Amino acid sequence: MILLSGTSALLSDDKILIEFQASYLAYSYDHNQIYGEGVSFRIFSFDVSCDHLKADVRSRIFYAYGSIVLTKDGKKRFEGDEFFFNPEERRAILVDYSEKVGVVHIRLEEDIDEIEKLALKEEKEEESPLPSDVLENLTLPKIQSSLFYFTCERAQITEDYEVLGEGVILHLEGMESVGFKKFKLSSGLKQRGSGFSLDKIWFTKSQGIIARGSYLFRIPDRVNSLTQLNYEERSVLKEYTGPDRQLDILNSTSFVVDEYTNVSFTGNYNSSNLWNVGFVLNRRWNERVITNFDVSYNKPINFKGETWIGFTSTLSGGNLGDLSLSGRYEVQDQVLGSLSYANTFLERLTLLLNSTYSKIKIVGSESYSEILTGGVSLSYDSQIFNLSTDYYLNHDLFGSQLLSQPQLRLGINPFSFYEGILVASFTNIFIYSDIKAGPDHQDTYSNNTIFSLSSQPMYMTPIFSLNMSFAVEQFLEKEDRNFTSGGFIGKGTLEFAKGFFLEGLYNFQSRRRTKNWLIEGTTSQDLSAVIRANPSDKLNSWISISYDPKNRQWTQSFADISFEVIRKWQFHTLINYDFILNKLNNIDLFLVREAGRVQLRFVWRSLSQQFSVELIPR
Amino acid sequence: MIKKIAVIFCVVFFLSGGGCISFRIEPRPEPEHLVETFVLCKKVVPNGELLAPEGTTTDFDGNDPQVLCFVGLKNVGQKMTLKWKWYSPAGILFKETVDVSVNTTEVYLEAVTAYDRLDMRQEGIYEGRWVVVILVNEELAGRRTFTIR
Repeated sequence: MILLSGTSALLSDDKILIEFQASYLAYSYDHNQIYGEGVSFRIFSFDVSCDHLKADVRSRIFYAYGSIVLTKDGKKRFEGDEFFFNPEERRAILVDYSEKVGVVHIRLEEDIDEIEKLALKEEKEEESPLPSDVLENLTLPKIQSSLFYFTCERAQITEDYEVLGEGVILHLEGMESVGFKKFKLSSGLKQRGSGFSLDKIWFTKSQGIIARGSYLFRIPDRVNSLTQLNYEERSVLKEYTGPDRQLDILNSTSFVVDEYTNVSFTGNYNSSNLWNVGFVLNRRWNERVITNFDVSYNKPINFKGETWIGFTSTLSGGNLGDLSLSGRYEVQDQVLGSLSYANTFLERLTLLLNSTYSKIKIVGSESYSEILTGGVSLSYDSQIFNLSTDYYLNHDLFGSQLLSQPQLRLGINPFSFYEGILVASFTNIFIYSDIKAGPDHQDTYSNNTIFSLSSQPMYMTPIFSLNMSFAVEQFLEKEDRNFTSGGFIGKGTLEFAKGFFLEGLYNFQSRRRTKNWLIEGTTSQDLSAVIRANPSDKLNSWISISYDPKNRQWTQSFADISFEVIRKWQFHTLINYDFILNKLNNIDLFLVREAGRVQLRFVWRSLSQQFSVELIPR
Repeated sequence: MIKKIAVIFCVVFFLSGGGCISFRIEPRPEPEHLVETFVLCKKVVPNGELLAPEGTTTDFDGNDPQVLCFVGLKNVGQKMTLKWKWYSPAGILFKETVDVSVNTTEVYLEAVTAYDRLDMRQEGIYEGRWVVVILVNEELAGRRTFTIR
């Protein structure tokens, strides 16, 4: 893939921003970073030489240090020890370490009409703050530990921050590989200038030949338009029953009209006769009011297209609250509308109001569903308790159904006692529902009460701790389907070696159903032992085994084992064994290479009996 | 089918090759006396025949007796000098070591470790953002800032 992607640079004629010549240059594809020794380069009108260079291309930070010499028009202008520059901002800082730290700020200004004539403006600031440590983690060993890195003598950075190298040697997992006369080192970067790009040509057994290309048109701070084209040729596949080929064209264009207004357009077309277009005008009237107007057309497969016209407006009223309004109309007489309002009073009292109306055509008929919903919520949150009351209304105007549902929620915020060892909380929710459907009327209510008590880990010895939690819940409702359930979890942890833990867990759950005189229910118990190992970043694993004391049988065993094999290659496995069925449920094996902006994974899954190789962009 | 695959292969080969692949490029020699580690720490401990930093940080306070600046170099084949310079928050040179000669016999050393210390009990130390630089053969090879609270 890198080979393929790399080719497009050779066809490009990007403008060169910086050209480096060095005794040693290394570029990490994984991290998009450069390290150089004995480097000389030209930045705008300056020729710079230095002992060392570090560059993070993604963040546009360049740092040269050691024996810095800046010359302009062949004349030596500055000398120093450090040179920071950001070509985006056209600014540089030169630092000199002698009896005093000397900091010189240099502003590089480019004459747009005559690029060759560059003006230098300099200013010395006695009290200039020294830049913070930059790129301190960028070292040659870090670059050399990359999955892909390149070494060369000459490298160029284009105006779009693509990196091109000449006389390049590819190092794959630290091993010297093939050489290239010229190579685009940073292939795969998203940011680029205007122009056409062939992003990918690929073949898979399931999709056939895939081609992806895109065209970007950009006028800085004004227009940004990206058109993407995806093509799949499936006629080359032996056993494929669908269409021979598929084409997708997607366009997204945004245009800044002025400081307060911008417009955007999106359009998608799929060769299976599915397409949609949308146009949005965004207008900021002032700091508090923003409005969007939109028009869209959507043509789904096998159905009639829909044309919607709408608006959304938000109003931030400060102390008066926030109001949001939206409305959409479709030419076949479909309507969507919403209104919401939120405000906080006296710091602790919150009011939320919302209402929606929809009139939508029922698929396959000429009828419409028509629903009006509304809700109001008032809540009070204090340090000790929280109280909220909600009212929800759903009126189906077409089916003549009306649901109104008030509810009251009271909770005591978790509080701790016994010097913070124990934490308790309490919540009660009462819901009343009233449903009217034509002449029929029905009402129900329910009440749910939850109490929980838990402890922090209590250290019996420096290496052994205990903690437990207890919860009880009662659910009551009008129809007498009442439940009471409770549970207890106890956990003991022993650190038998540094980073190695043995944990024992006991879990008891009971659920009782009560109806008049009848009490029925179930209990379950689980006893588990876990060995956990995370002594360092290189090993992080656990293995568990569970036993059911009630039925006196072993139940399940799980293992999650992860460790570093070599050079950032991580082995990871997930195993599940079922003692009741006496079989291995599944084993998943992963071999993962973290490589900065990509992750390479070799995966085998026992359930699907599948082996896959995945290259995932990060 | 074979024809189609052959065409695809040719296109891929043309695009990726196109006379650009060369197997005759000589690899560049690795840089000498490369600064591999340059950190501030509270303690330096033996690590085999070398030294290793312990408690790396950039924050120090009055309870810390010293600030240690540790440097680890690799691929040292020639004689070289090391020098540390410590700058106060005002940017004034506070302390400077003499040039420390390393590998005077010019044998190849895979790794070299060394450190310098700033005594926090001496006069003139005050709160703020300090700077330490390391010079290898009188040229800047690393810089760190740290805070004294």
